[in-house]
Amino acid sequence: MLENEAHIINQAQQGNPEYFGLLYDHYLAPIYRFVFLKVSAKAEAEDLVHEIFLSAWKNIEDYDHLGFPFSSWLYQIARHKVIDYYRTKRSNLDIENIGEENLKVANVMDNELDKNLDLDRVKNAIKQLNEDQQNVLIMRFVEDLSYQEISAVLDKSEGAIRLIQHRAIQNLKSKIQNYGEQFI
Amino acid sequence: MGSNLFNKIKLLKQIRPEADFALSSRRIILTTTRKPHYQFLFKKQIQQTLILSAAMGMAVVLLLIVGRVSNLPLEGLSPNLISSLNSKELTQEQESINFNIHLAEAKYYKESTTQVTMALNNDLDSVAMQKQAENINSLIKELAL
Repeated sequence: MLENEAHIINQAQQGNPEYFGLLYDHYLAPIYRFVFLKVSAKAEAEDLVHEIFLSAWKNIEDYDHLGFPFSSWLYQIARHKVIDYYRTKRSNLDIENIGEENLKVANVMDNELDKNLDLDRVKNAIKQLNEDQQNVLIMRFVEDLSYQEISAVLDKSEGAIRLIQHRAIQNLKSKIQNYGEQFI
Repeated sequence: MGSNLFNKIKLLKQIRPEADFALSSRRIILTTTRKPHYQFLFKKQIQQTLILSAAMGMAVVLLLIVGRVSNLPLEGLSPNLISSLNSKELTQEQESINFNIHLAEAKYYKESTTQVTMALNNDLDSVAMQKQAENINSLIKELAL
């Protein structure tokens, strides 16, 4: 969370682009990771992230604090954009049918990660989880969001989030083991 | 395996967008025109007015309800309902029920006594008449012989 975030948001709501720029700089990386881990392709992730922040800028006056940080609102937008993406482009990129080649789309950081076979396996295994499990796993363990924040993003109770997390971890372990090679 | 797995997941945090993309996207977004600011202020003003109006409306309704309850015209309600709400009336009602029960019992005993007496008298009369009939029958038999 940004320092003086409420003030920055208020200024952005009043139409000051430089303040929205501060929000953009702070939240770009986590939102990009969230989207990239769900769509796998760099170009698609960039397009979606651009749409997410554009939508946030256009509709920022609709944001009400209500005890949740700005990131929860951004993750909600991101989640809906990804759902729309898979609805419209399912024929081209189905999350269940993504092959190893698709996971190695050119990306400076992605190439570095691909050098590590274990990481590649983790990424691949995450993609095989269902949507809720992916969301919880990424938000909880990659982005360190609290259960309260995740429950606000996914519109589920904290108990449900804990249950999804437990199942996600179990599924992830079994998916990784199913690759046949001894992991870690 | 568990902690190693979490460490591997944490490494995914290294994924970052390219700097070129970040800059160009930022520039495009921040130069995009959005709804004028006065629309935001107007919307906020309407929201606040609506909330205030709703709160005042609720307060007025509550005041009316409280005022009405304290000044309810109880005499206009059903007498049964009023008596059922009054403990004094309830006691009187209970006492009158007991009294009525006693009266009913007295009436029963009085009537039943008379009826029993009459029934006994009837029985005695019939026995006496039967004896007389038997005597007459025996006399007739004697005369006939």
